[in-house]
Amino acid sequence: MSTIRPFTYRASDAELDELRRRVLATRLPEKETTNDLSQGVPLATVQKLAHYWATEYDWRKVEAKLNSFPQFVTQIDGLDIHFIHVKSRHPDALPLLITHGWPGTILHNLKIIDPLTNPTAYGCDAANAFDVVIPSMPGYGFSGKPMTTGWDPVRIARAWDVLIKRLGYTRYVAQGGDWGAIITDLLAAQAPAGLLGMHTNMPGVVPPEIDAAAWANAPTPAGLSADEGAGYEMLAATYRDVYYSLLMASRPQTLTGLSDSPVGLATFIIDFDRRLRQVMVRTFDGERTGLTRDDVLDNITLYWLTNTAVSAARLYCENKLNYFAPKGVTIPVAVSAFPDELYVPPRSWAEKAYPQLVHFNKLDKGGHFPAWEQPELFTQELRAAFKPLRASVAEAS
Amino acid sequence: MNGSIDHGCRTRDSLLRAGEEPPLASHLVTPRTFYSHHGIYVGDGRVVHYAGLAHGWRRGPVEEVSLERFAHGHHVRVRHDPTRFARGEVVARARSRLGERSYRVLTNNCEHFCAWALRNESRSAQVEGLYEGIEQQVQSLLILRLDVITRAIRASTQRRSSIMNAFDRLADFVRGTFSATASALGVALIASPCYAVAGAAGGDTAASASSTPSRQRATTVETSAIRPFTYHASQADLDELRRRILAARLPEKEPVTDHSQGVPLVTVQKLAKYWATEYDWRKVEAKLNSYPQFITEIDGLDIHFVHVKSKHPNALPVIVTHGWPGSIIEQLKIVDPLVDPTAYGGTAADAFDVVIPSMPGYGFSGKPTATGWGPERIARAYDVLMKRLGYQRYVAQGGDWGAVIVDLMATQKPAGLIGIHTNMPGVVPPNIDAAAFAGKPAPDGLSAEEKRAYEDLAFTYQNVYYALYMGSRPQSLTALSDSPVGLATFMIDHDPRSLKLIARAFDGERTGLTRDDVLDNVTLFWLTNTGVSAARLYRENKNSYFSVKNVTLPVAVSVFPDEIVSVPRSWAEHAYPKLIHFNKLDKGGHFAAWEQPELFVKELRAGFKSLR
Repeated sequence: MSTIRPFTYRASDAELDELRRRVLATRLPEKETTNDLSQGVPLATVQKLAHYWATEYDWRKVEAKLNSFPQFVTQIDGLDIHFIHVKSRHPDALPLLITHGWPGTILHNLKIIDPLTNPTAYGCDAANAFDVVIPSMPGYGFSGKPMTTGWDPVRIARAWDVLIKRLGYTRYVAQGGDWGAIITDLLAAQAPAGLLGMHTNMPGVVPPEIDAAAWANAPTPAGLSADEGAGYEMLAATYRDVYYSLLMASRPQTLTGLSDSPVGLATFIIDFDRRLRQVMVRTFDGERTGLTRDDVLDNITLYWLTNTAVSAARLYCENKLNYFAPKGVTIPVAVSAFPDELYVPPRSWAEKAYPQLVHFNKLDKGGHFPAWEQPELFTQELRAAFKPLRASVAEAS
Repeated sequence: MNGSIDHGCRTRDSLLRAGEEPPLASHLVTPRTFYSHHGIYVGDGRVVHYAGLAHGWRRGPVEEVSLERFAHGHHVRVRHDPTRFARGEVVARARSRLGERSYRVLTNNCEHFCAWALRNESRSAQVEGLYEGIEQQVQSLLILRLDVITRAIRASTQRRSSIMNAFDRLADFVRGTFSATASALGVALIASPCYAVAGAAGGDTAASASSTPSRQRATTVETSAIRPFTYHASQADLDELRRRILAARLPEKEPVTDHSQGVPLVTVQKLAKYWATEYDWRKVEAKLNSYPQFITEIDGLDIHFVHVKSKHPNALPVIVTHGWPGSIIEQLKIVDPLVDPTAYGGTAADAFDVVIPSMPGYGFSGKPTATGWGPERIARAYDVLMKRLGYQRYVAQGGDWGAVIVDLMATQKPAGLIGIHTNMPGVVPPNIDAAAFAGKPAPDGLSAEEKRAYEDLAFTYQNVYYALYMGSRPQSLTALSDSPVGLATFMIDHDPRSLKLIARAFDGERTGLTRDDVLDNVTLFWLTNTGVSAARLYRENKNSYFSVKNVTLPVAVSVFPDEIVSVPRSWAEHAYPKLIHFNKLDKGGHFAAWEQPELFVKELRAGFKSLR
């Protein structure tokens, strides 16, 4: 039951040929009726994406990169959990559990593995080293797909602690963005033995009454500071912009089209929010955005090859919690606030939600997927954020 | 026909809405027999125009008339074309020629007059476009004649599709053979001085004929072409569809044993299997083509519609409008009972002439290429359509988007719309609607029935997030264009009750909708690739679906028990001050015309009886 099996992945040529055939045979809708991005992903971007995917893109590159890291599968709570596990050669490396979100996969976190595990090769000293554990969420990537209900973020958080203990770690820290942030908040709220602290780039800190007002699109509540007001407005706008989350939460099984149409899947996935839609358009226009076309298609191709669009969508269905409200975390927390996040949390809310706020930094660039888009900044943030906790590890030992 | 005559001039017109004042000195255009009529707006509801042939066949002077008289019952458009003069100067120039009587069709017409007033030019796009337009004009006249014959044959053959198909081929042949001849003939006719002379002589006849149906039909053709339409999917399209269905890759089974996560995998599998192996599109295609269908351009967009006239002389014209994810297919079952009531348990006094348009972006109508085609604009276009068909007095019916559209038509109150019937009434008090949308507990003070409706509504709002998704990013639903099974799954999950009604068809139950019904509609969406263009209507809409729209015309309401909200009479009475019919049925749901056509037809007969 608790065996840890090594894992590598190789897509068959037949699967890749079939994917290419489908991409080439794609039937598209007509052009949007506007000349902006207000109706979703512009047709021209979809065309460029499909063209690149069918003609130049090479899955084998990211596959080789992925297989260059040690990967494993182990069964937890009845479900196979896939994960990358890279140990640092530095003896005092801090074990770090990193959780992706939607529409993410472990591929979102590949760029940060080397800088985290091997800091001396990246201009940093050995005291910054991490052992890295990056699991695929249930229903995502190479993890199993739950066949029954119940795999909500609370259960995933519990499974993560089982995983990290099974790997022999007794002290560790956790990090997450998007669903990963919620799972990390919940893991911290569960406060399992050995979890020293957490880092989040999508903190759950919005006071519930403010969150409710933003959800209802009420006018900005009185008495907010400038930062809070700005956070509120971003949040209210986000709630009007991410109806895919409500659609997936209510009718995940109705999204058959995402299993059957690779370009349909790609379009749905790259339209995360207004800002990322713009990043995607610019990326496929050949601009430098922090993401490459390969980055984007690596992630989508993994969804395609594993047919996980619907199983991934079910997480929204399982979830009963508010995305951005405090989850009752009392252990030490580090927060990185990226300017293009769904909302930029004001420090005041973070201090209130996280009584032990050990790090709070506002960055000047980066968005919802900083490990993917701004890996250098993100790595620096993790090093700085967890520094104070390493001291406590050292004292304890 | 002004659309085709003016085709080459590439100016931009905007429709003048009822009660709206045009800008001072603006160039106004309004449709007339054989041409479009032009004038200059001079303020205070007055227009200066070259009367010319505007009021019949006698040539009139440059005169100042009311906007109403200028329009003469037609719509008016403001033409946004350049002017060399200040507004006041244009007005003065126009008035300086009052009383002049030297109107000439080709050299000094009403359009020349406007060009002169605005730009000191003497130019008529109509005359310049005549040589390319005349061919279409004459074709249309020919087509009209064919249409009349078609309907005569239809009446005598009770829609035997083989004859119809043969006739369509004949019509195509005639059109092809005659177009060159017609073109030459038409140019000769118009270029001849006899045209004006003959017109002048026959003026009274033409004017007195204007109230007869034939005259109304002629006006229709002349102001904007109505082209006959039939559809035949290519075998290649059908083969490709089957190939895609057979190649469909599906997700794994849902982790529940009910519909709570959407369309169950097993339903999708059954649907796909039936679609790929037994389903035959040609059946519904033949059925569709057994009805007279047309396309006409309204407000810049091709609008497709089924138009079936009753043989009974006092038939009441009704425009029936579908919704999402619907199409004209939803209404095919009610056409015969409505137009031919005596064959379906009714009396001649129950007869309707039926007009069933495809909404913009749906079915065979055009797909808007610019924003602006919201339900209000569709409502206006539908009145134009009815008037173009010669109906001066009509009723309107709708469910889903069609219900929103007929509510809006009723608030626009175009002349001649005498009442509406809705099976999804917009009657929810705004505060209650807002509370339901926000998922709040039921407000205090509701009756038991109102509370039930409130709970239905709140439940609905938790299960129709596809509407919000389409309302925010329709263009990101590429999958609906690329995956037929994905499209089908998305469409059959309109709401939990409708899903149940549809899923049971694939489980072999023989009530309500059949598998063919469901797939006819989905296949039409597929063949026309309208998954995304249909979704854009949600993006265009600014109205609440269920809330009160301030309708004061007579309204008939049918409440079907499986509709997403069973509205209480109290709300309907409040929202519709002239509620002429309110009936709660004991079966049927959101797609009542499709699912329970007999009940639905009875409801329309009863609903409109008092308005006849």
